[in-house]
Amino acid sequence: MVEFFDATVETVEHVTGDLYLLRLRDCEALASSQPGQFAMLRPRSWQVDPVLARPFSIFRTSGDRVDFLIRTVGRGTDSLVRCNAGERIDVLGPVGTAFPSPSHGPTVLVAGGVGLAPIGLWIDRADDGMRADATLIYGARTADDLVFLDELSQRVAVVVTTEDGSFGRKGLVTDEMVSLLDGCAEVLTCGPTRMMAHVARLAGEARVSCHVSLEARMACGRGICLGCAVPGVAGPLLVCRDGPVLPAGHVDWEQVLV
Amino acid sequence: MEIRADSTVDMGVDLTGLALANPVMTASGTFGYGVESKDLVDLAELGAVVTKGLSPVPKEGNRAPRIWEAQAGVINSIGLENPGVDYFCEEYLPVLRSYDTRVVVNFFGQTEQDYVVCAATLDAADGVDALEMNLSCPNVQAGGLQFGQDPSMAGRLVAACRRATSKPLWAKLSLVGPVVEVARACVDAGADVLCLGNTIPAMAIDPRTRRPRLGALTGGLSGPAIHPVAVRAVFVVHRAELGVPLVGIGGIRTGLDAAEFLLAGASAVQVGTQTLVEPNACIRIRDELRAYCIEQKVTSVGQLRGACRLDGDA
Repeated sequence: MVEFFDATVETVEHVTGDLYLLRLRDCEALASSQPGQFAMLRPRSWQVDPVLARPFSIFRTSGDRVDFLIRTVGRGTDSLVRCNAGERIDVLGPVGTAFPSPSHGPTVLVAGGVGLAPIGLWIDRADDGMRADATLIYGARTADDLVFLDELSQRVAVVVTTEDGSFGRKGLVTDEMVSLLDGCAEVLTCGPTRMMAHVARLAGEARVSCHVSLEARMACGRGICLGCAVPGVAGPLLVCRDGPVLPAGHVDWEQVLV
Repeated sequence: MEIRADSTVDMGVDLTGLALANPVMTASGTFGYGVESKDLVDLAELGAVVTKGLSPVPKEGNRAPRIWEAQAGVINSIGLENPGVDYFCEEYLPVLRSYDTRVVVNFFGQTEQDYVVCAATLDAADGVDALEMNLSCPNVQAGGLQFGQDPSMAGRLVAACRRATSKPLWAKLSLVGPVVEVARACVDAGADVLCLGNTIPAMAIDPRTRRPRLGALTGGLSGPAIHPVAVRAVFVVHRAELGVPLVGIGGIRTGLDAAEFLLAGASAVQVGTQTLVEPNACIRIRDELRAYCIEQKVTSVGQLRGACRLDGDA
């Protein structure tokens, strides 16, 4: 059940490039979060500005500790990763829909950049059988943007792509997808919208079920403000309430990409 | 501020026949229809639930993106998306009625007839304590001019709704335009309470892509940035002595922000943007306002109304 509570910053660790790992404690309410669900975070120190809480996928949980993988993209995230240990953060969560847990057959996980976050929780929560059946295609711009590769490789098969070829295979995650779709039961993806649209199209062409985790600016995170609407094939979808995880076929990709 | 357990402050306010247990309400559009938050917020602790705006028939929202954060504020262009007044009365109102809270229903339209249909429907609905009309909507029969920008048009609209309901009728006004003249026209036409005010028209552009930040190009600014604008509007309307209670709305984040509105002349307040980021903001703000009353040695929150000290005052 969603709760509104205050948590404490335990650590903020610079991982690489513009990626940070924020660890909060006093987050018992998030312990049972499902992969794909997210939380709204707002440091108390923001007071009048920035105004709105920011949504982040839950990356890892351990007891009352929760890790968020954060890419700095603007003044909200810039400020959040500068929080000191001990700072109080207002948290709303867990909110949103989760990735399905496939009961049989191979799963292809496709993560682009910081889109690794909800995929990481899926891998954590999967049982040994699910992991043995899963392949992660993890793409980034360059080798320096790749994170937690060793941990990931110990748990699932990983195919790495970088746009500049500095690590793994040169190219995009979608270049590696097609050969894995034969016999695949489910594709789960999170990353840049354009990437997910391409992933969804390839999965659709191969008639493989596909779930995507969308992102949008939002104010409330719980279906109240209607600010995070994205175009769906049957009308607008709220990323916070109908998503963030949605069947790829529910999204009107042509309109989303406009 | 610590609240002393032995202190008693009368937090009740009377808004032309509608008694509220405390003066802090949710603002329309930031608390849905109340029922969505029943597990997160004790609805009985709110001065009132003010619902998201309703139209006679369901209305779709604007194209995405619908929200952009400005400095100390938020620009939204949701587009008054709502399921329609009948759906509200059938699906949400019975649930809301089961909670011990006041219910103020916000409504709007594109024509005078739209407003009258809503007012009549809500007048007949059991569990609606007051009707709040949003005057910041374009009148499609007057070339898109907002009802609330023209005193005579605003007056005609309020008069039409007044004939459709005997329940308390609140007029929610724009902070821009001839606010005192519009306020006077609404009171002359029978409004029981004036709410000041709505979001302020605003726009943001991405300088790199040169594109507007919002799908609808422009939107309405809310949040701390507009607080002083709304306090001034309450102040000047209060000074016009129109004889009805005022409700202050705009950028309230703390009990002291709320107190400013009361000192400017408001009887009650609504909390919007802060409610979006902190679901139980109204309750915290009520507690902070009570603590402020104790600090100021007032025994009733009503004593703050219009108590701003001006030249010549002691």
